[in-house]
Amino acid sequence: MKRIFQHPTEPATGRKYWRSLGQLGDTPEFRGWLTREFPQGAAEMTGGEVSRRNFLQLMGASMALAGLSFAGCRRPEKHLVPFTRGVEWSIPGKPLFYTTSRPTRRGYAPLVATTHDGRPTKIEGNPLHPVSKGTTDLFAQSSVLDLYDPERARYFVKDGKQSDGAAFEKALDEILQGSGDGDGLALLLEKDSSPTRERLRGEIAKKFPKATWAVYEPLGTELAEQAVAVAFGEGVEAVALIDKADVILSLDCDFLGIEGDVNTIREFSARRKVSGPESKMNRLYVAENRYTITGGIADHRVRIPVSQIGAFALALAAEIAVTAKDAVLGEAVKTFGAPAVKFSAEWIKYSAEDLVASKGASLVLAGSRQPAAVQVLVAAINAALGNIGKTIVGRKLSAKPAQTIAELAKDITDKKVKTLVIVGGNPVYNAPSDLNWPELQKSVPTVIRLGHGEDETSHLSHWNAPLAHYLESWGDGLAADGSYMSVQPMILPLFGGWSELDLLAKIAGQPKPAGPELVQETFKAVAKPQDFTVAWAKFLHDGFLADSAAQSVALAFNGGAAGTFVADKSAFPALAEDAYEVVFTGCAKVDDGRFNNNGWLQEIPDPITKITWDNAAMISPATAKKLGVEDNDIIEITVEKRSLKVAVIKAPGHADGSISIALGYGRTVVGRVGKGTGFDAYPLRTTAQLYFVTGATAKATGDSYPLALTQEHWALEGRGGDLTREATLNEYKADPDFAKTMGMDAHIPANVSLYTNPPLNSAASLDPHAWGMVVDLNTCIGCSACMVACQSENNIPIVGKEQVMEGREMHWIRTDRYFASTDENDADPEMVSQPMMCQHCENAPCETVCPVNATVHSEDGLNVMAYNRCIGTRYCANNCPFKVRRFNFFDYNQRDVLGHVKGHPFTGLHAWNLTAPKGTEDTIKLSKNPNVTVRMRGVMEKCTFCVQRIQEAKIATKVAVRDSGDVRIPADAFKTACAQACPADAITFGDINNPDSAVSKLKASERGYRLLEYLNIHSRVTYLARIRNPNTKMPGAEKIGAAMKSAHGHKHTEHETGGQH
Amino acid sequence: MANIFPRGSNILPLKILLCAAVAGGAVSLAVPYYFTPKYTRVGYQPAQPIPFPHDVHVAQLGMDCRYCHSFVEVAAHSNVPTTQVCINCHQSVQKDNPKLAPLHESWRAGKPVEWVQIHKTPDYVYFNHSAHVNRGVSCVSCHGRVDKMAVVYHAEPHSMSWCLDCHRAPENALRPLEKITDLNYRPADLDVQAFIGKNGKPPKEENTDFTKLKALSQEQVGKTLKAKWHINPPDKNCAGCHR
Amino acid sequence: MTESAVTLTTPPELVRVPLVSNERKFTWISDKVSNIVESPTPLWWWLTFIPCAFIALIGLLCIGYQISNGVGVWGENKTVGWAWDITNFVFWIGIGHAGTLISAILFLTRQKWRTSINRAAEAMTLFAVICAGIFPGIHVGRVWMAWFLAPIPNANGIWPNFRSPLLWDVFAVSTYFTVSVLFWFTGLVPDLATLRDRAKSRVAKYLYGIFALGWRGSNRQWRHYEMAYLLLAGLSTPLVLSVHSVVSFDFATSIVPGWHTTIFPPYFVAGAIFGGFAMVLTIMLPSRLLYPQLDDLVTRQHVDKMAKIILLTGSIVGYAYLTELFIAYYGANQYEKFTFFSARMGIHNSGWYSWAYYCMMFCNVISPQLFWIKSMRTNYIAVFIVCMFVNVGMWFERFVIIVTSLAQDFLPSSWHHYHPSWVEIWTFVGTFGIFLSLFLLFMRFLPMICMFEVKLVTPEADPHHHHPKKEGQH
Repeated sequence: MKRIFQHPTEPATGRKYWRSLGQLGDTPEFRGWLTREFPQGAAEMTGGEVSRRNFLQLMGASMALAGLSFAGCRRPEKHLVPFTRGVEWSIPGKPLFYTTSRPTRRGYAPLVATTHDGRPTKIEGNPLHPVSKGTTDLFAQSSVLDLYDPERARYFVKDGKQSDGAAFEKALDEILQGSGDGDGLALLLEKDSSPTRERLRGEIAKKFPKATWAVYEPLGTELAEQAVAVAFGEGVEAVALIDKADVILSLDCDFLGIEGDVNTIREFSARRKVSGPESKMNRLYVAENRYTITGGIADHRVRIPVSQIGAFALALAAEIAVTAKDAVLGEAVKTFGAPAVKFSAEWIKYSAEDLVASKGASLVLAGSRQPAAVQVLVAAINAALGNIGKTIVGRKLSAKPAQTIAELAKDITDKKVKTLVIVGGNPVYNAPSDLNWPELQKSVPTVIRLGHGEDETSHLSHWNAPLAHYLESWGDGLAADGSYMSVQPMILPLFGGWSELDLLAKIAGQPKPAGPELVQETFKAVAKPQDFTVAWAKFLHDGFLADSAAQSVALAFNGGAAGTFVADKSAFPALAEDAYEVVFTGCAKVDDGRFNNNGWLQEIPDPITKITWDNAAMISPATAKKLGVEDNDIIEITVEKRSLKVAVIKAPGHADGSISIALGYGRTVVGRVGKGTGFDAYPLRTTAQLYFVTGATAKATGDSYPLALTQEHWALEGRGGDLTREATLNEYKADPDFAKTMGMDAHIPANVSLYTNPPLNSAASLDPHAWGMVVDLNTCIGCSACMVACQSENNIPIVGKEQVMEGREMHWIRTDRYFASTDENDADPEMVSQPMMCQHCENAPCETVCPVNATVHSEDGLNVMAYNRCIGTRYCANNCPFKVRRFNFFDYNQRDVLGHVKGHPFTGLHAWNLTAPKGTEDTIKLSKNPNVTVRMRGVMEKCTFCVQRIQEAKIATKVAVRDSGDVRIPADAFKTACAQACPADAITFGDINNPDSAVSKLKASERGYRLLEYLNIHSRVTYLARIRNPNTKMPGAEKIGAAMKSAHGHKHTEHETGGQH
Repeated sequence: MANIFPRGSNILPLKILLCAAVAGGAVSLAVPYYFTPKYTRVGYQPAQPIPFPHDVHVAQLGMDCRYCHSFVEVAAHSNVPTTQVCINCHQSVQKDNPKLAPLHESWRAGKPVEWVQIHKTPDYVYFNHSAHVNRGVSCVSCHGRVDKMAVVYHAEPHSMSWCLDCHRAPENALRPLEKITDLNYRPADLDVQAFIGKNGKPPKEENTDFTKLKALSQEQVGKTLKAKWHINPPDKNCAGCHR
Repeated sequence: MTESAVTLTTPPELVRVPLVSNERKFTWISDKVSNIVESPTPLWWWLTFIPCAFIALIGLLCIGYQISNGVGVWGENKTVGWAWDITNFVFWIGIGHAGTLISAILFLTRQKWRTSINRAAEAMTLFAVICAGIFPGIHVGRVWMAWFLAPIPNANGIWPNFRSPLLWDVFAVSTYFTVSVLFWFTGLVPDLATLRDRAKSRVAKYLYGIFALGWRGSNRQWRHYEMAYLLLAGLSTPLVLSVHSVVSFDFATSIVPGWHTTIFPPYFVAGAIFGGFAMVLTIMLPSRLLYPQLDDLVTRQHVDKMAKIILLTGSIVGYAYLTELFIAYYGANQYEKFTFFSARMGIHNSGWYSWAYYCMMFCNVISPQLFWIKSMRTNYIAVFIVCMFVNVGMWFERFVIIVTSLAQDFLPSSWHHYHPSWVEIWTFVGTFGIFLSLFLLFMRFLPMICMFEVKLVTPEADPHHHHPKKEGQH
């Protein structure tokens, strides 16, 4: 089933991988390992890391010998295969946890990896590190699947023919010997903050002084850096302290989404936490062209095309210059007349007023997409607001400048480059189109590529080497706060891949490192430890070097330079009537396309559009009407000579005359997961206009393309007051109990029940626990990290686009997203996200209807599901008011979910039948959580509140107390996967019987309400009503929360339907 | 007209009905028995690569279960000893015994000994040894008198109802923790006063005078410990064993 | 219908039309009815049976395909967990009511006009229940585990969940089927004996003989027979009411808006009789054309009487529909309101399946009103057309209840459209094949009309039938 271009096709059996390890079991070097690492008779092993790596080898080997057959037959001849020699730390069946960190554009993300028998199965945040505090984003969560991606680069390939590491090493040596002083040698890398990499860069520069070192990121921050350089001088970076700001104005900056990380989210949500009517909240104004996560949580939002943000900033600056009486700012903007487009004067006036009012505690952010001039202007605004040094602080810039891809391209065109080494990245796919990179790369005599998978770039390279995943390699890096992070391997490279450092070391003329030598060397230099062994052990244990965060430097705003720069560089194209701007956004799921082959991310619905497995052109309903297109219709966008056919989706709250397209789709060479997903917008990008282009034309083509949405319906149907309750801060102060009196609960008589359940957690049951959850709608931004965390923890299969279109996605927790307004045709509806998982009702409707007792209630209040008892009548799902139950319509874990013939709306004949190839890739099996059953076809499943974690905790407690009777689990001893991942701290799980637990404290909040109370289901999940903090003077302030109140009134609620899809 | 059927066929329908009833009953009783582990597993006694005699090691040498199954108290999985553990003794004891050849081979080559698995729970059952042995359930309750087995066999049914029997009435299995690996233990052997002194009297027998009592019954021991330790095995809660 | 209505001088408009026209004699009845079975197979029989059997086969293949692939080959999804499967189940089980009603209740109420139609109606009942039984069987995700439903002691030590209406269904339907079979068979015995005695070939003699259970028609046997038949009639009467009530509990006991309704049991039973009678007529009218010799036994007044029942039950159903709407309005529950006024009636343009609702309304409530006109009740064409409407309407009723309620329920976020897959469609069509094939086999090999009972309502059976004054009195 694998299709590898230019590669010898694999035998059909998926066991190859194990066989190789199995053989490893008795190869000479394997015995070598043993004799070297296990001196005869020694029970303990020394040299921690090395021994663990061998343990992984052994483990793999023994598992291979065990045959790893999960057959459920009655009595297969199964073998128990112990180690020959005990391995330190390893207790068969018990997980081990190691810290590591994951390289991202914004620095290394601090993580803790859970490994079972040497297999990393789950990623969590590193609770010790201030950037993570134990939380993760969805990329970190899903990275474990990339490790096990069966379509990773598995072989060393020379000109399309399979080769091996040794040959590659040899070839590399020859090439390097021929490179003399490095003239003609060029390296193209991704942005990375690893000090070891910087060190090796220095050594390479010593060895090859003429070598070129270029860095390219499709979604770079070079404009921001340029702006900072102008405004504050070279060598510093400006960091916004979001939690310090009372009033934030974001100009096209998605700092909670693609332009942020768990840290920015936490800093923001910390200021949205409301413990009572007296609590203070920050206020967020957002001006953007499309709904982003940031816009969704904003208190005031205005729709503005991206190309007009600059003009808007000017207007705002002018206003602030007056209100704040700031000369510098006034100087900077006086050369400009009235902006080309009309903005709401009140909006600017009152937001500016608000910003000025909280001088020093306000913050204006510009999107990294915006031209440098705009960003400088924004810096000036912040200076005028006295925010420099308060909400915006300076930090020493660590990275040394490198060549850009454009400069490298020029060298190649001038035939200066003989040998091109590409590490990671995928320039053939995502380089600016005007460079015509594919041709350039072909013109280079020798191209060496170290890459994660088969992609466009590897096809135009002479040597392809598999890149080791970060969970497979040694490394180091700097976190977002500049602290020094460790990267340690959980498992040996599955396919013998090289890490980036391995390759650079080779180029620098060193031997390919067998272990952490390189990093240790850097560590010595950075940490200067007295006792290396101890310090190093601590470094690995904590995952970072204590208080190594970058020291801050004072920011001096250079008003003059800024003023002139703004005056010279500012150019604000007016939008023509029939011309459109096209905005290229990073995708919330596949980023710039690097995660395109990750099934989890592909199937997670986009937080805003709820599209899975594709991207689409977001346009406003008005624009859609103008173009005469509906959802799924294909339009053709033309910029100069470049054009793109792309399906559209009507996005409420989108700016008219603007088109937003997420990058990262439409890959031509990619695994079967990413194959045929979405549309490639890169061809429209040029070096000059990387992030948005204006003057594009668009027309309907008459074709259409089916998009798979997980949420067909956008409107709340006037149920806002019942399902998603909301009030403004003032209303909340006036009536703290508003949430209790909203919706139907306020109007229906109390439930009277003839039959009362036997009380849960009665003394008789002796189970002191009662599990419950609280979801704070005020901090939830809908980022969907919880969804991937759940998928990873609970072995939830992906089902493929066809099945999602059929409405059969399997996510146990989902984030419902509504666009609500009291006016059906409102162009500015408000957006609300609501995580929805099994509510674990105490009177669960699903339980009474199951004819076989497959779903019952546990004494600790869980609504539990026994898969092996379920016969699949689906009655429980029908009777679930929240529709959180998921049914295995097919054998999603056993059959190929991407294999069947398309045939919508009729299912069509597909490959699900018994003749289809059965079984999953072994690497995928490795990624499963051994503590959760992998469900078969025909059974129902749903959120279990991570019952496996609950049971582990219970057992741990019982084992600890042994012959005492105190079996209560300590408060907040563990979390569910979703709660643990949530960067906004919106999900709280725990024991509501325990007064000390966080959840029982939150349950007491007067904002708390339970869904559909009138059904007398007594759900265990409480939602905390959303509080918005509008500025009452602002236009549209009166609208805020109105749609959420509608169900409160006694009038006909059916009229209040929002925009509908 | 002529008779097509003999007179006897008058009661034929009745006979058929009777047979059908009997057959039906038999099937509905046979299915739950013969289709279950109770029937298929008990007595399973495969040949092991090394004929390890538990009786010799436990009964004669008096080794504790936990010497080899060292993680049984901390992990869900009760581990099988590594070659190393065996070698600790057998590099001197019995080292020329031909039966131990596979062991030495394994030690030399670093290849594990492949023991044949006897006790197996389905993939969807999450049994946890530590939760049992730390809370008063002995090895013998599920594995039988291994100390008497020359070759280990499947002694107990391990069917779900068999598990539930104990989960619904744990007092029938509980014993003091120090007796967990004593497969020979009998409640009667306990020192009554010491036990009462340590764990108190059984519930509902607070007023009974135990000073005269010579021996305790399992019921008394079990009920006492159950009350004292708050033993509450999941009996109605599927999630206790199925996740 | 009581005797008191008859005075010594009966006014002409009260003079009864005889149930069997032309004063037919016993022998005539036996001949005509038995001839159908004894005469060689007519061509039309093959021409109808072969296609029906073929369609049935397709249906069975679809079932096999679905079981081997998984429920996913149907169009159901996370939101709409039941669709055509349960719709068809309720549809067929509803049809399976008329027969037993006619034989049992009309028997106990001494409605003599039932005699000439009850046999066919009962047969139809059985075949309908067989078709119905298929769907709950195959709609589950793991058919091979369906034995969990049976309360047999097992090694897991678990029992079925006796609170679940689905389990009640299992018991109700199986009981109903068993009793119906016994009832039907008991009624067959004397006629089988007749066929046995008339049979020429030894094989036929032998086979009919086996099932005649040695019936000799002796007084003693007749006495036992009458008692047994009476008891079975008494036994099945409550079942007629209970089965569909229990089926309605599947919905009534749930919390889904549109399902959660106390009116369901009576409304379902009425609907079942409604649909059942329609189906009886749909089958009976054509067969009457094919066997003109039976015109004297199945007369216009039979059709007329059944049309009246359809009119009555149809109106009851219509009343139930309106009650639902009223309660939805009066209950002031926004979710209930939405289901009935938006999702079903399509007010405020959110009704995805409104067309189905109005189709149901027209077929079930409007079309039967035609039967207020006597000429329409006795016009076979008109009756047939209306009955076809009713058949369609009753299917849509179940579709509306099941699918529209599920597709748009509490949380708009999880609303989802439903499309049937070709497998679903052909499985449903296939059940019609099964139904018709079985009925054709029945027509071919068993007496379509209960001979001995019809004889009872002939003048010949009346000791005084020569007396002119007492004519029409039975």
